[in-house]
Order: sequence, then C-alpha cells, then structure tokens
Amino acid sequence: MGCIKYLIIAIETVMLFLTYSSDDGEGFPQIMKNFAEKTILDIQTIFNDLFYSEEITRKKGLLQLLDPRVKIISFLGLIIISNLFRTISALTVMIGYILILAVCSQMPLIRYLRRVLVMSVLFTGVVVLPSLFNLVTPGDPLWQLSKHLYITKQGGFGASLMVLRSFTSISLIYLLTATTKWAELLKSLKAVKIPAPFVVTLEMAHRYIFLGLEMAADLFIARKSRSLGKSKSVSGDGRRFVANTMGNLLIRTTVMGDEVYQAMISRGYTGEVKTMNRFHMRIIDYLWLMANMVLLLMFKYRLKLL
Amino acid sequence: MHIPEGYLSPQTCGVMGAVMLPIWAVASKKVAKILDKKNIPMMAMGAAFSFIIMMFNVPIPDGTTAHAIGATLLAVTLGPWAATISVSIALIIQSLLFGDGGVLALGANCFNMAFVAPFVGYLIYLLIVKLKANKAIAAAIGAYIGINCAALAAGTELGLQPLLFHAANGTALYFPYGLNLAIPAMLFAHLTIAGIVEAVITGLVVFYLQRVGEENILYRASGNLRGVEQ
Repeated sequence: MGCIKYLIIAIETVMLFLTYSSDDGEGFPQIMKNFAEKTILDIQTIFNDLFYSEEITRKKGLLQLLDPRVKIISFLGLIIISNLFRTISALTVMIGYILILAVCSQMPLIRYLRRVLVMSVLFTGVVVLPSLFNLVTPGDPLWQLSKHLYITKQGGFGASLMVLRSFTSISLIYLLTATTKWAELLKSLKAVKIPAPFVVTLEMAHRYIFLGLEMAADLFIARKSRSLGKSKSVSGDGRRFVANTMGNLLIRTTVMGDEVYQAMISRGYTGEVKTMNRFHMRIIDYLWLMANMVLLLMFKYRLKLL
Repeated sequence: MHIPEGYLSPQTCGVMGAVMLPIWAVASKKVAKILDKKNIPMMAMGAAFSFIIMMFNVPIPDGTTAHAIGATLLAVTLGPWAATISVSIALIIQSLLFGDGGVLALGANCFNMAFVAPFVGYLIYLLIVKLKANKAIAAAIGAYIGINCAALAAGTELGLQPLLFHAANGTALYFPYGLNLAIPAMLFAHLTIAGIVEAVITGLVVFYLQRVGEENILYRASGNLRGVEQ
C-alpha cells in the first residue's frame, strides 16, 4: 500500500508540475517548437483574444446592453453563489442558466465552449483524476478495477463537483469579460469599492502591457529572423537570451515610466487622480438585477439548492 | 502556480482576501510616500513588466519550456512593497482578462505570488548581499527560496480544503487532496524544476544588468524604498 501511495504522489507531482509550470491554460507543455516561436505565438494569441472579445462586445446581445458596474457586481455574486453550491443538481441548473445567457448574448458558442471546456474539463479533470480512487478518497466502491483498487462514490462525487464548479466559474468570468469592453470593465471596478489610484494604475498597466508585449515580440522576432536552419535545442543559450530580453525590457520600461511621468506632469498632473464616470443605469439594468434576485430566491426556497 | 477558480472554498478565498487588504493598503502607502507623485506611472510600468515576463517561455533541459514569475526580480529592482503591488495588478489582469487563476482566488494567489515570494526573496537577497556575495547569485538564491515558500503556501491553502470543507460522509467539496499530498506535490515540482528556472532567470537578469552597466536600476527604486538617499 505504501509504495502505491508514493506512486500517486509522483503522478500528482508530475500533473501539478505540468499544470502549474506551463500555466498556459491548457496545462500541457508542448514539445518545444522553439521557445522563441512559442513566445511569439503566445503573444499573438493575446492580441487575437483582444480582437475577438472586442468583436463580441460590439454585438447587440443581452449582456452587452447592461451597465458594466451592474454586470461586475452581479457576476461576482453569481460566482460566489456557484462556488457555494454543494450538489451536482444545483450546479447543473446554474450551467443551464449560463448557457441561456451565452446564447442571449450572441456568444460564438463553439469558441466559447472550446475555451471553457479545455480549462475546466481537461485541466481540472486531470488534477482530480487520482482522487476518484479509493487510495486517495476511501469510500463505497462504485466501479471495481481490481481487488484493492476501485473508484469510490465519494471520489466520483467530489471530482464531478470540482469539474462542474470550475466550468461554471470559468464560464461566468468568460461571459463577463467577453461582453464588456476592457476599458469599461476596469473603470467599473470602482463600483466594487476599489480605490481610484489602484484602478488608474490598473488601467495604465493594461494599456502599457500591449506596448510592452509588442516590444517583447519584436525582440523575439528579431532573434528568430537571425537564426538559420533547424535550431539545436541548446537550452542554456535560450535561457540567457530570455534573461537578456527581460533585463532589456526592464531597462526600457523603467525609462518609459519616467517619460510617462514627465508627460503626465506636462499635461497638468498634480498627483491627484480624477476619473470620469460615464455610466448610467437604465431600465434593463434594474430588470436584470430583479430577475437575478428572483432566481436566487428560487434557488434558496423553491429548489432548496443553497 | 495560479490557483484556478473553484479549487478553494469561498470562505478560504474570503480569509485570504482579508489578509491581503491590509498588505495592499500598507504597500500603496509606502509606495506613494517614497515614489511621491511618480507612484502611479512607475507601478503601472512595473505591473506591465511583471505581466510580460510571466508570458515568456523559458527553455528547460528536457526540451519543454516553463514560465518564471519574476517576483524576486521585481523585489530587487523596485523594492518588495512595489513588487507586491506590481505583481498583484498583473495577477488581477491575468485573472480578469485571460482567465489565468480564479477571480475569487485572487486573494490567495496574490498572497502567494505577490506577497510571500517577493518578500522572502528580497529578505534572502539582502541577507546574502550583506555577506558581500555577488548580487546575481544573491538574487538567484532569493528567487529559489522565495518561489518555494510561495509553493508551500499554495500547497497549504489547497491541502487544507478537504480538512475544512467536506460533506457529512467525508467527501471533499473543493480541492480533494489533503496536506499530505498537496504539499509534497507542490514542493517537489518547485524544488526541482520551477524553482531552478526562477533562480537561473533571476540571476541571469541581474547579471545582464551588471554587464551592460545598468546596475543602478537595482539601487534606484529599491534604495528609495529602503529610505536611502538617491
């Protein structure tokens, strides 16, 4: 028994390492195309995502019509509620609601499902896999694999709960961010009582991330375009190049910080942050809030799911 | 090391958020005091830099690639308080806009990666620099210890879930593995590969800064944050 336990620790370790070290959402490190190509592609994906989500925000769907402040507060509420659910039926009802919202907001369903399913079912599924077995989760046998190894009811229940919950949470975040312009999303954070200087820093950081990503992509493309033939995977060289790029970007962002500050001063910045509030509540926002309250009460008293 | 949504119970997330609030408050006060009016543009740049370096694929010897967090690197260049704010903002943007790491789990993720990692890394760095060691080596060792402490914190948060939150029949409701599995798994991955990647990259960046004669970046802001005259 003891050695099986260590085997499980080993499997777990490999899995956690795969999921946590590669951090690219999919959780599986691809065999190195080349670190430079991969970084360029990753940066491209970010710009792609930006482009697509701008497309979706321009559609005339249900969620696109709502005030971003209302949206951010109600979605935060929905995420907390779905994280509190402890039954599979409750989460299934929630997923039904989410899918209806997705359809009403004219989300490109295949793109949305692919993204959310990869992150929830594949990623979380791999993480919870060993917990199905009696070695990790002791309990009543559900499916006997051998004399000492079986899938337990408790393990199966816990694992499905995790996968469903991760599907609901990731979907909610995706719906929120895909239907809201990023600038508005960041601005509306003030509605959740995040202090103004923090929000302004966030907004500025968001803007300069794209400039910085472009600088980084240029550095990698410059290297890529100077290397001929099949690159031998001398990882030491690669690491040195990545570190040099980071150092170079660090110097450039520091200089840029100074320049941005000078530009702000010359435009009359006095250290005080002023922001404009362009949002206003409409009937649809009140209707949305009411509908969600009714749904919540129904969850609590009619379906007894909370 | 980003903990995704749904792995921690909302209660745990609430506690971690409550822990982070005073840390953020103190950090923004310190940064505002030392960097004066310059704090907002400097922090924005720091956050952008932090986000960008988390994107870089670092080649590792087995032919795959890994990512570095750069928490200690930011701590030795901007100072630990500024690193806390920069990495937090990068994490917020990652979770909100790219779904990397949970939104409810932000408190926990910020605690591990934006508080534990830079502060432990920075303290170790200071200690080793005091012993007259090379700054690049000091930063590398700091980064290694810092990221492993962060991994230990993450493993503990995850491992506590089945102990604290389970159904009447003992079924885990959130992350299913206890401390005995979660901590060794997280630590093993970070002690062996992720930690070494972080250490090597941090050391190499500091070495690069020394080589190109831009070592003053290491002093400027963090010297400021320690109250040293510029």
